[in-house]
Amino acid sequence: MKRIYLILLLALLAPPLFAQSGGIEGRVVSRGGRVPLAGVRVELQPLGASVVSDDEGRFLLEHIPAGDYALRFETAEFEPLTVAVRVGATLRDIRQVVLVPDMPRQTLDDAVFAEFDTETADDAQSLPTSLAASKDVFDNIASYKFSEMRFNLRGYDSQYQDVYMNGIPLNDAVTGYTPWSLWSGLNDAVRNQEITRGLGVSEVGLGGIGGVTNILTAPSQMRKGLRVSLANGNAMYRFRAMATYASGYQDNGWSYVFSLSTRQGGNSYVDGVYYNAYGYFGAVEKRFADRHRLTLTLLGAPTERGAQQAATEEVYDLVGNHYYNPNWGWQDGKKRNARVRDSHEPIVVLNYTFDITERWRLSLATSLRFGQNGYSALTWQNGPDPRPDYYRYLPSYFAADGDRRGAAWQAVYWQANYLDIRHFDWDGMYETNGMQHDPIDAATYGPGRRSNYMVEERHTDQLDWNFVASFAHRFRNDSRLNGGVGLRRNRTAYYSEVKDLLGGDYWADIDKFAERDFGSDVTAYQNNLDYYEKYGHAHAARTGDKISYNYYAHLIRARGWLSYAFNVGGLAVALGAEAGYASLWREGLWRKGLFADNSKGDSKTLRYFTYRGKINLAYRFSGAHAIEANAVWMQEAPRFQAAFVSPRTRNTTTPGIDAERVLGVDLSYDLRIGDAKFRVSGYYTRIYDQSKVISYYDDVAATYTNFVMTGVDKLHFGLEAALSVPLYRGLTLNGAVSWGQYTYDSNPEYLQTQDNSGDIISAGRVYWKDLRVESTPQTAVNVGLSYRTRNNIFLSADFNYYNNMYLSMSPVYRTDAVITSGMAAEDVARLRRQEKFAAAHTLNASVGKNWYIRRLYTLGFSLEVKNILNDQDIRTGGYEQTRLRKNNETTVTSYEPFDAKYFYLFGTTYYLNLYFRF
Amino acid sequence: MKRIFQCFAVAVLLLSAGCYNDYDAPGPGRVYTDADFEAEGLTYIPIREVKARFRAANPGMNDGSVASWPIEEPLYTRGKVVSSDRAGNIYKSLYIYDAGSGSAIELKLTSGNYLFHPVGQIVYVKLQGLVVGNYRGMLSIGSASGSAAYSNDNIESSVVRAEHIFRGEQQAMLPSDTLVVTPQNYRTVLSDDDLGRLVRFEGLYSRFGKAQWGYQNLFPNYFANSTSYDATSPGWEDIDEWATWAAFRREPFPGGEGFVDTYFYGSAWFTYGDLSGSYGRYTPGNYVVRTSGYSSFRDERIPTDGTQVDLTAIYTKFTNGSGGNVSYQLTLCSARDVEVK
Repeated sequence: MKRIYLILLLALLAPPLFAQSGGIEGRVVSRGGRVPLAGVRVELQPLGASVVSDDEGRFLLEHIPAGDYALRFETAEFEPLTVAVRVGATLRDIRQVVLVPDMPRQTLDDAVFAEFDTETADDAQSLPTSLAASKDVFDNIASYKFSEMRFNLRGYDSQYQDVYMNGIPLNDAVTGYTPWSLWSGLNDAVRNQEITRGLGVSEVGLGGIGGVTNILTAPSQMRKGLRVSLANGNAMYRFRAMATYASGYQDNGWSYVFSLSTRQGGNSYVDGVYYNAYGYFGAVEKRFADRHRLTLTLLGAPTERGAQQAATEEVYDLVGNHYYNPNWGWQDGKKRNARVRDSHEPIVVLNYTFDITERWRLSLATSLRFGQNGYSALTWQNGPDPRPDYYRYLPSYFAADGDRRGAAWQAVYWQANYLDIRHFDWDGMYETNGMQHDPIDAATYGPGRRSNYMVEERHTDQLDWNFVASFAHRFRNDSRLNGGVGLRRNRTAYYSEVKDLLGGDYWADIDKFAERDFGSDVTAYQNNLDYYEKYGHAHAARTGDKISYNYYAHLIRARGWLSYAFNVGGLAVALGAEAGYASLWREGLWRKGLFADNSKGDSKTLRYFTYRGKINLAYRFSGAHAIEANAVWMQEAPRFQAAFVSPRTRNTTTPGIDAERVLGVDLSYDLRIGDAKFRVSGYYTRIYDQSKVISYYDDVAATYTNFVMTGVDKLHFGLEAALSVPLYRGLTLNGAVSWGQYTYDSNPEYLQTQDNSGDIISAGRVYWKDLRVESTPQTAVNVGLSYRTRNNIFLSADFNYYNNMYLSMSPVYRTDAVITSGMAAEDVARLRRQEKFAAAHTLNASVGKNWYIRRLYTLGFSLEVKNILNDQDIRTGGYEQTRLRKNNETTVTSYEPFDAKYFYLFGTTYYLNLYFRF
Repeated sequence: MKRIFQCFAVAVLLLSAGCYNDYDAPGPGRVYTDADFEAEGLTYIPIREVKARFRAANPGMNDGSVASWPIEEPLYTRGKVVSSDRAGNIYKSLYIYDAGSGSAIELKLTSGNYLFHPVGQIVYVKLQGLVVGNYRGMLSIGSASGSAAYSNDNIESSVVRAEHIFRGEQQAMLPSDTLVVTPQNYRTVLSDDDLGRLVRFEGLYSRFGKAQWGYQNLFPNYFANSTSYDATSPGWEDIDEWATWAAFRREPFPGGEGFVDTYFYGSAWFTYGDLSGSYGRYTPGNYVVRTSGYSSFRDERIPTDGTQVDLTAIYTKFTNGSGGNVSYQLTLCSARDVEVK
């Protein structure tokens, strides 16, 4: 029986305080984020004495006769907990009692945000700002219940949320994106998180504007026992298995945790998308002499998954649904996806904590991220574009060419999927490659078949090292001082390699665009000029060989921070400042034929001073009412990919690139009455001087180009409110509203250069001031009911409403370069207008139950059904294509945008999770 | 407990054995023969007869006419590929030659034909549903055009190509596949019946400018859309010094920042030196080698004035919209097909 009692080990370490009589006191917190839990009923058995925890989660039981007791904790939404305690003659502080959420938390993994292709050169994975949620009533709803629409808190990109692991910053050093995919599927192992909301000052670093999540992997802080779960669903993958075992703190000072997981299969809506993913996690901790802790953590998630690409409305209409995926075709009777993310980037983290005194703590941490991250793509040297939905293969192209009969037939072919017109023709590509015996190639490259089609894998392989030294001091007046220094060194290898030659023997590694433009100058189209000069021809690359481009991104970041938090009466104040230095440069490993003098070796180093300043003010009027005001001003270095005009080809830095600055303020009001919670916040954020580089084929200039934007400003402001109100015997009403307005606040300067030469094609401004920032609903509303019975049945239903969602804009359409003389004002306005999606609503529900078997084991299930109304016409995102069509039909030459591409919310989906733990 | 673990382990093993990248490579593609088409009840028609049927269907037409023959009969034809678009000078076209009837025709397909139909391959064409059309004296097989200005169009639809164009046996090029023209026989062996054929002109002379033959422009000349340049045009005066098969120019964007890139076709004059006859602008023994600005040998030099060469090219014809102002144009598959003697 004693095995079901979780004895909080921290309590053992807590020095007993002087007391006047026998008793127990402590603080009840949630496991996720160590958030204080108010209203927890604490009962001493068998004595029967009971109290309820206060707003700080504290409880006190006094005047208890000495003896052994069972201390039972009960509150809604959390598993009941019984702890064995021995009461002596003094008041004993068991410090923290950690309660675990009752139902399996609706923890998201990054799979819910299927990897989407876009036409930008940026292949980096974009994730929402939060995959974690604090106890905060709004964040919980926003993170979980709005996730179906790729909701971003306050409209921020994920780079503005800082994610740490044991104090180590793990946001991608190159892109800034949150790194959730690095531990995909390891939900149990990374469940233990400290979350600082919004503009709050975090103890592991000041944080930005999107909050800070610090994942704690110390085994001693994880719940002892085995957890096993099996899941089946149709929205992300078919199957997930996860097993985690935690030893708990052992008498010999050791503790450890191991976790394994796998996710397999595709979903019910999009063909060609699949998961073949695994996860492993191991952490071991040793305590020495009570004051020293050493923790080693290793985790990784070897993941292979097929991606979906958006399509135009014309294609969706032709195929009869909104889930067409052009990325795949049949081969060997199976669906083969050309766009596959294949990554395995283990992270190893070493932490040392020294409790110097009861008030001083020193922490040292270092980490290394390594491994590979590849993203495959079909590429080809010549001939027709093999992508099935290429615009020339659609009825609209035939119609635009005046061929109405051809258009009608093409529509019939698409509708009937005649000759598999909707998909890649893998067999045809193999056949074509197998036919290539051109004597010109044989004379140049030797015997063998030169592949015209090939699957390449584009790599961004990081070697990321971090070191952080920090301290925490608690003064006698309970004020707190935190500080530290951090150093980060990142070297990311960018290259592409041959993944599959599709029946050919080699791939001639030349730049096909340069070959077209400079065909007579053989050196001009060499990707690796040194190789050419050594062997007299381009590299005949075989499977696994590097091709196309090969360079390093180098980054060094150093920072130091200090924060101080104190209370004056009901006023809590936190102040923080951070200063740092960032440098970045490119190191070309190959000499590119077009840029022989500016492609190999180190580029100019870009150096930036970075800083952050924060202030948090919170005033609690009473146990029920509190207000909070926060402000931040920060400056960050630009991202590597924006700092170079064309990093794949040369060392040229972006003209006019500058540090990015952010100003953010917010004001909140909190109300708690009993179990009822309410929060409302207003926020205002200005982002200055962002930079962006996109690369695309410009139909107007008829060449591949780089489009550099600098001085991109954004303005985000809005209101967010949420409440949770217990209604009647376990029935709770939840609700949240997020209303914001996220706009571009400048007309940034742009410079368009030809990729092949660096020549300026055009320059000017992008006219998009006051147009909306894309990618997230700017209005989101949730109303939900949840019901929990006394025999552990849980039911919930949620209605969500979304509005003010906008299409991602192509800056090209909003320049003067595409305006021709004679275009009417309405033509220009039509070209620059931003599309707004229709408002949408969804209905979701879940049910679950736990069984406690012989008071030893917990067996349970949860079933979540989303989009019960099966609305398959809800747009969740999309983007304008960068290409423009030249329209010569009228008397005036004008440019018309290609059709935009869209993603849609899946119809009804389910996710069934069975779990077992003891 | 034990059973739970066993079930879990079995489930993991069964469901996590990833086989997502285990594909067998397909075998070689099918090689078609006449029997395949005869089995479908199709009737073979030689290329020469295809051309004859087209003319029969368009009595009274001239070379400049927009004229077509939509084929509605169950016919097929075949020919050996004699052209390559690898160098980018031939665009979206394939020329096939039927040795049996001694006739060739252009197939209007798509880009990268050399990848699918290398030189020497027998190509079968199911004709029913396609259109034979005329463009300024050149006949071709393509799809119906949506424009009244053209008699047929390229077969852009992959489905239509798959239903009409079939790969046959890969054969070697035989000497007889190339028509040989010499200074002695150019007036007798070459006729409009040979349009679309691969022709080897032996002993031709390169001729730069100054001659009273051909277009108003002097040779070599370059043009894009309606704009043309030659040795007398501002900025192009020194053409004789650098003359290349075609040209690429980057010029400042008018009235703004940046540049405009233009790819210029190039025309070079080759002759057997006989200017005695006169048939409008056509004089036998004089040919224009016309090269695309997108060709990979664009920047290679035209053999200088007076250079004697052997030149192998597709023999084509170009007239004005009335069928007049005839010029015979030679389309090179590669600059290697010009051998300086």
